[in-house]
Amino acid sequence: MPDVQSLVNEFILKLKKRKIEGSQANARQTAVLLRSVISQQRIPYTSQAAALIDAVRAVGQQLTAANPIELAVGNIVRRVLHIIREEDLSLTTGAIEGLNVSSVSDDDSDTDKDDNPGLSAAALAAAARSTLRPPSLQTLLEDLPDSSAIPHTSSSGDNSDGKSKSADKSTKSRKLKHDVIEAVNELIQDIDTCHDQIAEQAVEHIHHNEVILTLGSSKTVLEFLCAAKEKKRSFRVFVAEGAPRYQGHLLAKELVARGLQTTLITDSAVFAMISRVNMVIVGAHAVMANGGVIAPVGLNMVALAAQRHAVPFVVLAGCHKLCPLYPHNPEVLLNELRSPSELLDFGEFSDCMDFGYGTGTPLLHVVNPTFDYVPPKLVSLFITDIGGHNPSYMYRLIADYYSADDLVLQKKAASVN
Amino acid sequence: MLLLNLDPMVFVRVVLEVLSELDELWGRCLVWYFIRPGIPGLVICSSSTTGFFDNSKTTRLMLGLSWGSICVHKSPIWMHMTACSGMAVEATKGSMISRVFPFLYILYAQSRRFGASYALPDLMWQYLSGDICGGKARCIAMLKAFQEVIQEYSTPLEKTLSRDLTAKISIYVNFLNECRPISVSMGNAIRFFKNRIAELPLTMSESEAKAALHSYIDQFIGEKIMMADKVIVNHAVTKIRDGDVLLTYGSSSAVEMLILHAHELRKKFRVVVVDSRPKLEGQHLLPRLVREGISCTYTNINANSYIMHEVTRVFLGASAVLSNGTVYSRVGTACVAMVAHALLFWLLTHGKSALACLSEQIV
Repeated sequence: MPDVQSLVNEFILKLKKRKIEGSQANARQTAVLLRSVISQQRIPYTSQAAALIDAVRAVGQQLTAANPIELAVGNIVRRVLHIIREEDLSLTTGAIEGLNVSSVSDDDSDTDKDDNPGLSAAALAAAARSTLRPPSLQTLLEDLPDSSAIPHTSSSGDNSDGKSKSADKSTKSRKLKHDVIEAVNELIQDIDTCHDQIAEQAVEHIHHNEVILTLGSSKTVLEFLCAAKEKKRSFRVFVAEGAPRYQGHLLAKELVARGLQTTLITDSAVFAMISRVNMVIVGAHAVMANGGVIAPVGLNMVALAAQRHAVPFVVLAGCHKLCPLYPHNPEVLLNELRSPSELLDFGEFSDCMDFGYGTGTPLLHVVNPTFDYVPPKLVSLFITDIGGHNPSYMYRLIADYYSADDLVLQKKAASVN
Repeated sequence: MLLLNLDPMVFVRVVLEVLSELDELWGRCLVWYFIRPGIPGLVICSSSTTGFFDNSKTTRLMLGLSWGSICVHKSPIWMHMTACSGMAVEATKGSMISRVFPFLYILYAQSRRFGASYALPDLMWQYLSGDICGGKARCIAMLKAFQEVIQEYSTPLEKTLSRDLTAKISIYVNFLNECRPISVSMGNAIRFFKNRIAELPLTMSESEAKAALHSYIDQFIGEKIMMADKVIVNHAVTKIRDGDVLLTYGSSSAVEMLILHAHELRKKFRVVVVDSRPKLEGQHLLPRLVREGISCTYTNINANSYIMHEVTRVFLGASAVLSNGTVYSRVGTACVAMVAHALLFWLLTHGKSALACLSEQIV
């Protein structure tokens, strides 16, 4: 445990100092850290899943508090929590199904709950699972009762079944951890390969003699464009430089090195050039539950211009960027203001800073936000590693990847769970 | 003799001494063209050409200066020609006069085209290097240069003043256009000026005509530019109320006058200055406003959707307003206008006004 705690503290320090650049790096390191936390965690025989969930939650709370702007960290924490719940669920239903086969000859556990009240745990578990899934004809016909919290019922279901399961429990505890760690490994692999999976879809979207516009620099966009280039599509790219960090310059250099015809423009020229552009392709910092995008600063302007000229605005985002939270006042609450020195040279403007000291309030304010919020109605398409989607489809992906109980990471005193 | 380590002022003095022997007119032009761009470039270039000469400080200086002007900034093609001809002449290894004379002649001939004054070369240089920018400033500079041209103009024999002067003005305008395409305000001024020249009665003597044209230009600058600005500012200042947050983009002289005037009228407001590359003109406007005691916020154009939520009025300067109502202005103005317009529909309850564009030359 002390081992893990030092790892956690180290990571928290890095997050606080903003040492890790990019949501992919953040997500990966969070996942690796949580894997170590889980593997080192001692879990009791009863309610193993709850113990794991508590441990991960405690660590997750500290991580999100260290850097609230980096939403990828919170996303991964919630993904891991969801994995724990799902694995526990599948183990429970597996165990109960095993029992079922021995006690009742026919009928799988998913149907006919009214005849077998003893199978309430399985019924509730299946019911819980189906409420997360979108309503389908099958679930409508099954007429299941509403679910309550899953882990306690499953654990109470375990307890109620008596001694015959005690032998299963020790294997089950090892199995739960093992399954969870395997799933987390898969998650890490997904994070690592998200660029490749998105880039595979490039050929469907970029055609010959197209003109693409992008702003700033995003590794996903770079891989996407290069994949299309490798499939022998010839197209041109306009890169807006993305003041004040000018990361567009880096992207332009990279693209030219890979042989793409690139033009570097200033951000103010975006409106002038957008009528000559076929598609706008950008990366995102995070995608919110309503389909809105937290993107590098300047992209709201580009999205508005694209809407005016009926140019498709395509956002590339790996699944680790998908956040189950709703953006309330994102311009202020999910934004970070950086140093004014990126905009103004302190030496030249030192005399401006002096004015107004007599009155007490400084006369000159400099605003340098990092992120911009793009509302979902301006986005035409999201390309994630599992395919292209509408902004209005984001809620379905969130239902697949996250549990509703995990949205608030803070522990409340009178928690339902 | 190597010029590499020469102090710039010594260098200038040496050059002027040498050139004082030569014809004063093109000597002036020469100095103006070559010395102005940059001493360091000249020194480097002149030192590199010393290898081509065996003697003659004069020729070394001539060629060094011409190379210097080529290397430092976009020099007209004839400078390249003179340098090459000088090099070719040098290769023949004749006497100093034969070496230098064609070179000097071409320079002299070019300088003669601009008349005796170098107001126009000065103006060309300022446009090329971007010293003067902004529709109003360029227009006024051009008109002042025309005044000087008229001053030193003399009608050649067997030609009428109006026709000859109009032809000369057209040539000058072509030159200016090559340095930098003329703005709409400059085009209007030129048209006005040519009309006035054409309307001059033939019975007028040359000096009277020149005086009349001089006063016409003064009148144009006074009425159409300066007075118009004042009237615009008087109208626009009524739109500013206490508690307003004004947003402006880049640096427009009309908007600056408006803000300062409103501040003089003791209105309580603050200003957001939005700036963008490549010129970063907002950084010139900002100290001027802060010095007057106006509370300012400075931001990049990328952040204008962040800042637009607090803004109540947007004032934009214009370079031209076309007859269908389209506004033609600095690059990026359209972005600011678009974001303001988009937010207008979001915040219907806020008193966010539409845009006000200030321009002095509407035709």
